[in-house]
Amino acid sequence: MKRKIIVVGLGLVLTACGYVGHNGAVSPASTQMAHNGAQSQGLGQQAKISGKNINNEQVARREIYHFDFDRTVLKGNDIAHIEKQARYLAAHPNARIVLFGHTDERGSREYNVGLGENRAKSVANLLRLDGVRPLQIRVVSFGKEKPTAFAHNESAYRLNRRVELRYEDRA
Amino acid sequence: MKLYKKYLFPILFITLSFPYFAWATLELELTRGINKALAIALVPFADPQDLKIGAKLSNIIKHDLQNSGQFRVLDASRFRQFPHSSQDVNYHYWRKLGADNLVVGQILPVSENQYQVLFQLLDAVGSQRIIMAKQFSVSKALLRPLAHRISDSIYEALTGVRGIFSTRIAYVLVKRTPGLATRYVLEVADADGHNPHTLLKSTEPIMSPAWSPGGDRLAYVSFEDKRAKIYIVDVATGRRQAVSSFSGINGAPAWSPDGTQLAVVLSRKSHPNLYLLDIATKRLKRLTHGRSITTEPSWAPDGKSLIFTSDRGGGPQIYRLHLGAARIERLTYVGRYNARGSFTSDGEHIVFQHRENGMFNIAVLDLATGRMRILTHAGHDESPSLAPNDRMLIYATQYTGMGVLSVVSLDGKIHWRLPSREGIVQEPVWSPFTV
Repeated sequence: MKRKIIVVGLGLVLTACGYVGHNGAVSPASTQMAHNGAQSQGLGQQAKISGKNINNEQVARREIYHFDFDRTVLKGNDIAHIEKQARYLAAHPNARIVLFGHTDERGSREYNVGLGENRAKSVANLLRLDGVRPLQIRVVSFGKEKPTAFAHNESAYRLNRRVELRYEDRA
Repeated sequence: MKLYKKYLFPILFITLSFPYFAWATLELELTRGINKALAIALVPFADPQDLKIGAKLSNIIKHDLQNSGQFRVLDASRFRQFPHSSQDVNYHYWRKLGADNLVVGQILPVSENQYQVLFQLLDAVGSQRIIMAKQFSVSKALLRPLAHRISDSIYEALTGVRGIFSTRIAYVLVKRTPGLATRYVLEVADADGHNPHTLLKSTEPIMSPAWSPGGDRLAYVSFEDKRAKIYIVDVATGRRQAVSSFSGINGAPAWSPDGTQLAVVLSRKSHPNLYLLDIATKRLKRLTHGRSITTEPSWAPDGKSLIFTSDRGGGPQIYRLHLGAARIERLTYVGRYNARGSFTSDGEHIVFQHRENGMFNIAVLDLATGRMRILTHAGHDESPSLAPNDRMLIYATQYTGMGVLSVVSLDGKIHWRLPSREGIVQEPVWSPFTV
């Protein structure tokens, strides 16, 4: 309960500050070093499937979170994964991710682009609450344009309502 | 007549400057017809050199007039007389067959690649007079556009309404092959689906194509760099420029009636809102504010207001922004989901996507009376786009699980579907009148 209040409190503070939009282009490498003095490697050299160990925690380089119809609320299980990503990203300020927002096939296309962005932003907000810098996050909404399931039923809709987190390889 | 000369060069240029793809062309299936229609007899054009062109021309005209829903084209296999000029016409015979009107014509080769085409539109019932007589000289490549031009002339002479048979459509074709990357294609075709030409191929989505008021350019959204950008492409040359690539959403471009501005949707400052983009100067003017999803702008024909979709009231509804007064009024009150609206050219009606009992259909709203009519009933209908004569609209729907395009008349009486292609067809937009 206490943790929830702290999260909400931080949320209010951040909301009052206004969402600082990422300026579109992927920023060039930051000159900041990781906090504990350890060298951070360019992500391009990482193994394809799993990420590097940090404090014995592995983070997936690609992760998907799902949503209920017409909602941008994150589910408990996904929140735990997102917070794990946040810890990695906060510890590696040069790491960059993209959040791709998606919706199911119902409704108008451009309105769904807006919905997909809302979903991706709710993940972004949680990451930022946990110390990830805005520069590390890019949000793209595909609306309903890139489904992964193609049936016209609720099972397919549920799979398509998602946000994909992906690490961007540094140029 | 020199009418054909106006579009001779542009059409020739377009036909020659695009690579031709051998995809199956869209064909038309009439799904529902109407009883009261003008009965018209299209006598196959006399083709003295047996070039087969006469029959081809007549066939195109027949499909055009039939699909308008306002003509019943008599079955030519019943004809026992084949006049090619009014002086050879036995009106009694054609009245007995049930024709209100008669079209006769002939085609003569002039030189290697040049043909002379003459036709007459006759009144079989009333005064038995020649309503219209025209003569053209065209190259082989322009025979199909000429047939459409003749259909337009006949249609306009008999209904008083301008024909749309020489207009075009643009749409997105999505091809999914298991094991391969999905391919998205932006295509332009004749209004009957023939002659598709590719403007853009991509492995990322293409959305929201929009014709410029002159019908010479298309704006669209492309995700080709894994981010949304708005482009404008010159349809004849294929040359394009990116005009909006801000951070976040760049979406739903809508041309102002004078063609100098695009209303666009940007989320760079927070939530998706409407902006005006001056195409020449790239200057931006913000139109709406707030924390809702505000999108899908569409201009009133007089350029003084815009309608748009917004969930500022809870769910998506259509609102109108009066630009001068900066006043916003809500337009849709029936149902909890109304989106993607656009105006008829008299500014008095809007067509839009409407949800009822979980089903998405196309509806039309009379702005003066507030009366709404539902035009379609398949339940998966979206992206309505009006023909420039306001008589019909094209929209995207599903048929046996595949995305296809359909056309419905605004009085709801005529309805036809373009059959499935080698992929999903979506987001159709009907071009304005050109030439």
